Amino acid sequence: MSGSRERAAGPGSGYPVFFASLAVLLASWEAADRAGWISPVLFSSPSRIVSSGVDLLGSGMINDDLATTLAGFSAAFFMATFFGVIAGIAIGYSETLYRIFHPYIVAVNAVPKIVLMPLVILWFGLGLPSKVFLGGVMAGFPIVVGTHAGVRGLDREYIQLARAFRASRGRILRSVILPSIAPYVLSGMRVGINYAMVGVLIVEFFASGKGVGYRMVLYTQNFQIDRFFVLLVVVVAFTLGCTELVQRLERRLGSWRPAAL
Amino acid sequence: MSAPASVDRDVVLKLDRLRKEFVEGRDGRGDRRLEVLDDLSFEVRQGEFLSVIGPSGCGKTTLLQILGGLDEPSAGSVRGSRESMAFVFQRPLLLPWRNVLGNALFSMECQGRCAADARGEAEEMLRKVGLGQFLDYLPHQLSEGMKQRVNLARALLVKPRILLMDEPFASLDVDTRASMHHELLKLWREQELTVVFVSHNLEEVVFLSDRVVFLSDKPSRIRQVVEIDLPRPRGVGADAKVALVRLSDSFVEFMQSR
Ligand SMILES: Nc1ncnc2c1ncn2[C@@H]1O[C@H](COP(=O)(O)OP(=O)(O)O)[C@@H](O)[C@H]1O
Ligand SMILES: [Mg+2]
Repeated sequence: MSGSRERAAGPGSGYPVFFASLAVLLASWEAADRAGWISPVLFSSPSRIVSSGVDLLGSGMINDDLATTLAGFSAAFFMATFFGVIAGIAIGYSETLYRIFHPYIVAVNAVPKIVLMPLVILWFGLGLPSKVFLGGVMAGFPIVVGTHAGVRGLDREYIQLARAFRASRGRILRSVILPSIAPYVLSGMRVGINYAMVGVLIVEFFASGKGVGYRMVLYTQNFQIDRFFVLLVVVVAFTLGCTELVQRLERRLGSWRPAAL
Repeated sequence: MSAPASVDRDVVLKLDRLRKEFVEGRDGRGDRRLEVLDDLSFEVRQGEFLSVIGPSGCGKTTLLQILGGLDEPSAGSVRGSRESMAFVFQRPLLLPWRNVLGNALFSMECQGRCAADARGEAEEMLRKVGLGQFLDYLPHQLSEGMKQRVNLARALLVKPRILLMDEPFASLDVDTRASMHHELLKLWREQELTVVFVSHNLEEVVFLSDRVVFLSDKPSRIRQVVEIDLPRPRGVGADAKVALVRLSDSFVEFMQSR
């Protein structure tokens, strides 16, 4: 049961099927476009995305925007991880903090963060701070929840054991707590990647003169749909790459978990 | 004149009118008090194998945790050096992400020793408990008996003078338990340990101990302290077997009469 799941997720075995289906999809899309079934003003085609991509990325004209968005994403994701892990550990360890903060976490998490946009812009303006705030808040929740689950799942007797050997607090943190929650934190981070990216792009859609999100809106308004799709592919490739990286780390650090994968 | 002084020197742990009660409810304002230990006084002598036996739930684990400084008594005192103690808990509690060697090293790491230095010692101790071939196994690949061996090796690696053991073999099958008994006695002799061994298994206690402290049900008091002056090694000759059986019988009677 777990064997077959592992095989599907493992490197190699699942990919040929996927690539075959992707090839079929792209080929039909291209064929449909050539046959004139698709409006070039409203949609694009694989070959036009590729040639437009070579153009756009090769010329370096959007390097600034890529860098802006990358900076926003990195900062938002870093803040989400940093504060998310601290908050997750805090509410995992203190029953009192848990009682106080958990209801708020649930409530705020239930708010679709995009409705906060006007307020965020009022508070933080049009630049980086808004992106860090919105992306950070959105990515923060899964990280808090993951870390909290890890701390809750940790057997307190391990800490007793370390204390019986007279370990310092720092030693207990490094040798017991962090290794045991690492896979949980990473799975929260994996989910957080997408949220951080969405948060940053939303701010750029509505309130920015720079960045990938800004360009996407601009290109759509100018009916440069090919270019829009190029950016879409870039964003998807980037977040998938990050997700894959974290997932590998998660598997490596969590391989001891019987229920891993 | 000189006799009491020499007795004192031989005492490594001294419990004086130890009491422990748990107050149920938070912030100490709960109204339900659970008296667990009531007025326990006894001494642990240098180098002896002392067992504490009593019904389940009578406070044996609590007692051991107080001895080891993991919990505070409600009244009374324990005198003795805590630096020289190590615990063997009932559950092996191996860190699931560390292999056998890493788990053995854990105790030394807790005391701030660098893992690279300690490695040789850890390997040797693991060989002593019969795990030389399994250094890189993860806990989920080990049998219960092997886990308890790691647990024991881990405790011994901090070079304790006193080993506090909380029903360490309760979950093992009979054969594994017997071989662990032999190894424990061997290590006890070799390392000149003092052992405080908690159990509710009479046979085991008769086989292992120099002295046995009997606790009543909670709030537990000392019912009896019995010296077992059977020759060692035990459980081999016919005489020893008869003696074991007789002692076991009297213990059973004692337990039933409480
Ligand atoms: N931290 C605690 N808080 C409240 N009650 C406890 C606590 N630890 C143990 N007890 C109670 O004390 C009694 C003795 O427990 P324990 O020492 O584990 O017994 P034993 O090891 O002899 O089986 C039990 O009734 C248990 O429920
Ligand atoms: Mg117990």
